[in-house]
Amino acid sequence: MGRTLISNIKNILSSGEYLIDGLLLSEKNVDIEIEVNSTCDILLNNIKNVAGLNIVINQDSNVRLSFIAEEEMESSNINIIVKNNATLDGYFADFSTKTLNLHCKVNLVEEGATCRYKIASLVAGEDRKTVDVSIDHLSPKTYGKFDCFGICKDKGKITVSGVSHIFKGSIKSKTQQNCKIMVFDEESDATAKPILKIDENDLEASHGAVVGKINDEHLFYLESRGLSEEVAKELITWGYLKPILEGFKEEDVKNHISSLIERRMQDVRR
Amino acid sequence: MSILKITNLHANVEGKEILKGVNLEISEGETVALLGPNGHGKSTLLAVIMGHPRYQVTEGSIYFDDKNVLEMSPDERSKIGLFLGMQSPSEIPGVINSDFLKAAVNARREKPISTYNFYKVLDQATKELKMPFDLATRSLNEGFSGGEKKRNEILQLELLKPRLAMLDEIDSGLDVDALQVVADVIRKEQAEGRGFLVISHYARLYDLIKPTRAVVMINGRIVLDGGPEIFKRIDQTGYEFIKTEYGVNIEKEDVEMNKVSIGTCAVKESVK
Repeated sequence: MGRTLISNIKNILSSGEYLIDGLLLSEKNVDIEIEVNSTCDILLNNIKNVAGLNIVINQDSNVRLSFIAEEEMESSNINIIVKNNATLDGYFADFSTKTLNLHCKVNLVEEGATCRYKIASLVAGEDRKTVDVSIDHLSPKTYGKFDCFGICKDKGKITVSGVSHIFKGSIKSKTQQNCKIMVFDEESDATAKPILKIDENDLEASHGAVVGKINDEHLFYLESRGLSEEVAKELITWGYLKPILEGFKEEDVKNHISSLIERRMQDVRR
Repeated sequence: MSILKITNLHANVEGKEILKGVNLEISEGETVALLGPNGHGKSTLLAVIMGHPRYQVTEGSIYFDDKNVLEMSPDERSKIGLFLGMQSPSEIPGVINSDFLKAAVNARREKPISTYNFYKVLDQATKELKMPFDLATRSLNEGFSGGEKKRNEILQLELLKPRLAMLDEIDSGLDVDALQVVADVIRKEQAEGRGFLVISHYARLYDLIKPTRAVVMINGRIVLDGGPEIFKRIDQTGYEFIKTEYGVNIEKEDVEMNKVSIGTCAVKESVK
């Protein structure tokens, strides 16, 4: 069964698997509302820009939003509202090659709303990327998690930021931010700025950021088994970015992402 | 004829001299026990032979056959037949064990091994080591128990078939049954002509793999070179006889205070 193509500006979706029209998304604001108690899998593929994607996830619904930033991708603006006991699982595989500005704002507006958002980004050469994923906790017992894994090499530049804000009254909410960027050389530049804003007491919140060079012990271990430094770094890069594949359902899409990673690594080597 | 010849080797770590003139020769197919108190340079010697970037060689030479090992990168050293089974193997998240093993096997082949043949060889080796096959499909050493990590080192030894395998406390973390399994594999590899340089603090491993020679390293030098009776004596009486009979004063290991303070505890130099 193929995916249903979303080609309208305003859409109300019940359970199913969907693909958003790339041309529409690059030119217009697209609104999507997920019906109550639905399970939706939405794929964004072959998209140059996202002018504005607004999604409302109604009560007891589960949405997987899988997003591949292709080589031509430049900017993306996504706003998501998650309601009572609804869940968003967002996966963003970023292998674009230009100046990318990714902005994603998630509002957990009702009790029990959940957002898990994961990004894998490969930044190299002339790439200049800004990634901002912010989550607002506006009701009790909401859960937000943002994970970002990045590789920055060959003079690439990336800034990852995000504000997780727990508003007054959002008791027993939980929020986590986790950002790891591996920098391969001294000329590359990576910045991670996970920010917590807390206006409540009864909650759990944590944030962590690591920007650092490749682990020398890891490299030595692989090289001591006969792998060249280049191959060892590729294996580490691959291992670092590959977990994003779990967010994509179809095998051909997984293969496409794998080939994007390989192609980008080869481009940089040339 | 020696395959490994180390002459007057000096090496530093962070400006501190650890190896202070090591001389050692190992012949093809020989199994040598490397003994010595903690902190006297045994592990450093093996790491320097393998080319660990943390250590700087300041003097001396290492030749493998007629090849100058010190001019080679670690992967080149591996490809000429050196192998280091590590005391604390790295955990590398995301790098799948079998992908890594296949890449390592292919690194020394002109034509890549077919997936079918690789899994056949891997399946047989994991069975010999009584390792669950799913260890091959997990991230490299991540979440492995101490014993599983050591078996994984021996698995690599089996797949890569080095001419000289250096094993750094391969028996630590192994229970009695696992030690027997590992020793069985080492004996099989010995029978195929592989040489071994083995660090262990326990006679049990040496009893199983029967080194033909034992060398003792103290104060960054090899001070005693002889037959297997040496490790038996050390196991029974410790290192004191080396001082009384050979006049070697055993310097105490420097234990530095941990330099990390509260102000810097969250700083990492690299990404795990």
